[in-house]
Amino acid sequence: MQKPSPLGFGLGLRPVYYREIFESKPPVDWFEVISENYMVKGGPPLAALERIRADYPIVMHGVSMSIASTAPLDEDYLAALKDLADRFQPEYISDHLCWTGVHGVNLHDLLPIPYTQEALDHVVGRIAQVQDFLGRRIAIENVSSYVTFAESEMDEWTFVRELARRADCWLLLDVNNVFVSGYNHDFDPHEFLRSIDVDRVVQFHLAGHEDRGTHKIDTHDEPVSEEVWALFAEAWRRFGPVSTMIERDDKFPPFAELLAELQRAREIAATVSKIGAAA
Amino acid sequence: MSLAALQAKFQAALLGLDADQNILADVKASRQLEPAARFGVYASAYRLRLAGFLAEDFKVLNNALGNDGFHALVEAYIDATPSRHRNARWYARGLPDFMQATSPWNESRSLIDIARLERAMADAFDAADASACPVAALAALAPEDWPQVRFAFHASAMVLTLAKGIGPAFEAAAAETACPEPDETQDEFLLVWRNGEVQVVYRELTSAEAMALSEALAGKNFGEICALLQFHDEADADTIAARAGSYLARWFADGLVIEIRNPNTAL
Repeated sequence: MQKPSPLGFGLGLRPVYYREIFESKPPVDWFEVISENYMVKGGPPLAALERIRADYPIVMHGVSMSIASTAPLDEDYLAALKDLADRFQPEYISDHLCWTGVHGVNLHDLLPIPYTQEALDHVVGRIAQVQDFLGRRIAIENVSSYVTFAESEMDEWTFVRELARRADCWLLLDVNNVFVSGYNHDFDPHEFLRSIDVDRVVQFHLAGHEDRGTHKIDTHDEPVSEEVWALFAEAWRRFGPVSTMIERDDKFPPFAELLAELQRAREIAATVSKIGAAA
Repeated sequence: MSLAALQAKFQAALLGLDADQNILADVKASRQLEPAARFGVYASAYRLRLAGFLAEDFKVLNNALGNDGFHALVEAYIDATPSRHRNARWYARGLPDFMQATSPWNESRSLIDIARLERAMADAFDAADASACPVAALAALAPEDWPQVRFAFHASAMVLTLAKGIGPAFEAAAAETACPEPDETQDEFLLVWRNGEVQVVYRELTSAEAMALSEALAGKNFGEICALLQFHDEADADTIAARAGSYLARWFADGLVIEIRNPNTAL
């Protein structure tokens, strides 16, 4: 099983930064694009992505696959996803371990599942269907969650590990989500990292979150927290080198600030790699 | 309980369809938070997210209504309309129709029309790409072909019938400046389209040009368009043909026409 080659250090592509990216061609190794933003017929979004793609590798990251829903898979969505991938040739396609609605409703959120054998069997089957349809392995991301279901029969990390093994898919490890969920569900995020198979993880997400005291929320509107940087170092030690990127979805700072954060990710990775090589 | 039953229960509570929030019995407390507060993270995020979609696509309507008025509209729309779309914009585009169908918003044609114009501009933004046809292509038409010829238009092009003065009211609301009230008893015709790859624009049409363009967009041929203009204006045939020709020249200049369809050459 050959993992995709690491892409280096990237950013989430957001329209607010298009102009600056076009003008300055920043030192970003790759961009992650939200697939749904480009499932349109034409106009500026697709024109912008054409320009970006000419200069950078991309990964397509979706929010609508609803892989854990008990509603039927949306074949129109999968067809649109495949068309987009055929046109823009991403390194790979990812989405979240979540559901977004049932009975025809879209709740526009990454909703949690109980970690049961039934849910595992269900999601494994759905990933197989999607991978068959797309003709490629996909990467599945662990989400931040806020409720623990009484029905859960296993830990989240056991569920994620078994899912990747049985569905033969990649994992997109969101380091911030591991941290946020660890806080919200009273688990040790290091245990999560230690339990995931090294050969499954193809990408890291880094992002900021909001601390509400009693719980943390995955808001992507803050710089990456110190705790998450520390966890990233731990993740790099175990899984690196892995394609790494920062997500920012609100309270957009000057682009230079994101580049500085990305530089910090590079430096942490370099330091951890150097220590690893010396050991 | 099956996964399907759990998801149905979760969704019903999120949509406010289960007043008892039965889902809470399936949620464990964390060290710091009770089940209701934990589930509440999702419940509040759901409404905030949909409200965010609407605010993003109806900034001008928001200005026209004021924040409190827009908030009341958005809350009513969210209550009445769960999203059935994966694309946020498809959810938001139902707002003008909701206003049209729902009191008290259906009492203001002006506000509904501002929303309709804003929706049309959003629709034009990512309509399918197509290159404009050069006006010089008309020179290839033989005089006898003209009555049968049809035109294909850029997918972004649409003609709106709105209250008189909506254009200026829209601009004023966008700039948050004062503006005379639109005259809801009179009509104004606006053409909305995307100019080239990036810019969505609109311009006012006379009632005759609006009729001609609506017919052309519907696939009527040049002869049929001239006949309708004649019915509209009761002018002589040469005057009507000249007027239709001037409209056509303008549509080409606007980049609206993407193809000339001449059935005589197609055969």
